[in-house]
Amino acid sequence: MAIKVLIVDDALFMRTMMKDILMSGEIEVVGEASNGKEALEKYRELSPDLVTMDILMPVKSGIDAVRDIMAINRKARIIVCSIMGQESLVKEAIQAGAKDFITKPFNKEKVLDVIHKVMSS
Amino acid sequence: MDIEKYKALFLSEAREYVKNMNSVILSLEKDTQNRDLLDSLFRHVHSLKGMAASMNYIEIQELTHRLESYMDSFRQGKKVLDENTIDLLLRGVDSLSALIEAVGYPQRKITAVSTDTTSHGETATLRVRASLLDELVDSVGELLIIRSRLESLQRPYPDPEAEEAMNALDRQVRLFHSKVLSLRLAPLSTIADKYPRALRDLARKKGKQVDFSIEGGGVDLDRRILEELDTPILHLLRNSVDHGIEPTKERLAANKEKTGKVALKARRERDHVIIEVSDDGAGMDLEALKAKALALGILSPEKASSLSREDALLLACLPGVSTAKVVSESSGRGVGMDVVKDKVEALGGHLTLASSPGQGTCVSLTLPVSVSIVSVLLVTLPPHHDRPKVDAGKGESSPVFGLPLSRVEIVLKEKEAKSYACNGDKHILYNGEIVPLQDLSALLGLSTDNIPPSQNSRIVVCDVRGKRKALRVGQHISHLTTYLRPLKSPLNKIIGLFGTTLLGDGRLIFILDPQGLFP
Repeated sequence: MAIKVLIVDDALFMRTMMKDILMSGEIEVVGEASNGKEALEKYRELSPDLVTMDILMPVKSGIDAVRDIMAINRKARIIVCSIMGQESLVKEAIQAGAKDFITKPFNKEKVLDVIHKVMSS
Repeated sequence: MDIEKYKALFLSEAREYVKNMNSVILSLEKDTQNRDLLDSLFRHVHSLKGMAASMNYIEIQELTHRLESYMDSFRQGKKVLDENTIDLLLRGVDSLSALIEAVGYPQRKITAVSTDTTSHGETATLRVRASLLDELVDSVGELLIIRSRLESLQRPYPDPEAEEAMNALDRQVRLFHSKVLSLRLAPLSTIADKYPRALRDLARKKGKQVDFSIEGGGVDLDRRILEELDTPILHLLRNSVDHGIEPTKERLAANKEKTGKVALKARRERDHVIIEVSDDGAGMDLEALKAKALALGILSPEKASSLSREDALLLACLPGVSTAKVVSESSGRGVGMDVVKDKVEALGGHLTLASSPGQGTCVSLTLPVSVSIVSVLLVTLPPHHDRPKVDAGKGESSPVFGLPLSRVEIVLKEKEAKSYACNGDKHILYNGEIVPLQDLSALLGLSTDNIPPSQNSRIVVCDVRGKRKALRVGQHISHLTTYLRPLKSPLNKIIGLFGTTLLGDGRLIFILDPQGLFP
């Protein structure tokens, strides 16, 4: 069965790019959210296998959303997306429970690689 | 990965971010300590950086990165935002915008966005090519014309089933029409979002303190009307900042608040949208307006003394009349009000002015929500002894004209309306008001001698720039919802004509514009 992913990013552009990468890797995108609050709602509703989570977003940040999701499912698999130079935020997200991280610009092979690695752990 | 296919998406979203950055910076200017605003600005810049990196746009990536670093010192509280740093941030965003446009296609015209709800309860939007919407409206217009043609062909052969089918067709066409029209609507904010920045820059340049507010940015108008209104509204706003709001010293001397207020307000009233541009500046100088109009020879001394306050203000809308003492680039050298008025009237709207010395000026534009489809009243010319047979092919029938229903208040029977002469001009008494009466033939330049009072003649009371005017016509035939075919050059230069349409029997008729008809 295909892996079900929820994509969280405030930029439609980044979500579209991520969606195309995942679909090319035969991963199912079950939903999208544009901020941390929406991410939590969608997570509850859709119970995805994995979440890709942007960090800086309006309303609620990605780090807060990681904490919230981990609070409802401590086995949740979340990968944070960051830009070079955000190491301290990535570290904070990992401490909050994120399993791994990917950096923008997305590299297709790298993204799929990290997802499969996290899924098999 | 083929990144070129993401270019259009990048551009539309990047432009959106730039727009938001501008508006956040302008809010920050008023509230420099607001941490939420600063964070929000940082996020916009940061998101754009991620997008630019993905597209491999090195310059945009570099500039967003620098803007982020520049903002860091304010976010850490090491430095405080002031006028100059705000200026620098705005200039940075301008450069970003220029870089974005440099990679992109030319800015598109306003695109209507249709919104719908998917099965997941999400709001789905779809961008639609603007010209496709125009084509759809044309198609609906042609459908309306074909429908009325079918109806008139069928009339001599009454058949209940055909009639039922005709009614069903009618309902569907109307439904289709209203849906297509709603697709073409876009909120005023589509054009208004860039005004705060433009006015802020102008105020800075003029050394004035101006507080600009927008109310009713969500009010919808037809996309075409919005496009046409963009320049006129910006012109009125610039006028307010440039000529309306006094220099700070003058304001203080006049016991007014240091910061001048300029406002753009929009609201929907039935089929119309009212847009107001107001300021609390010096107001317009009526005497100076009159003097200028006299000097230009477009106003006679007798008329000048009898002119109402409202009409005197409208002198500002005549070509060449402006009270601006200094010719300035920002408001187009004093020309402009005439252009604004013409544009608004060409769109089927009207302009009114209110101004009081020392208190400010308010320009009010009343516009139809959409233009292409109109409901018209079909009337004939008043009866006449030796009316030339204009419509030779149709034998006895008198030429038919359309009057937009939005301009018509009531249709009266001539024999029931009290008409009398006053100072040589004809008037009727309607609702306790003396309303000037004109003959349609006379307004169209046809002879009106010896017109016999007629059993069938009607008087149409019209709304002309907020005032009642009565129009004597022949028969009131019916009314019709039809597609307005705009006139092309040179016919569009004729004042008093709105456009044309086809009747069910194939006759082409003119739709008149009462505002242009009445002198």
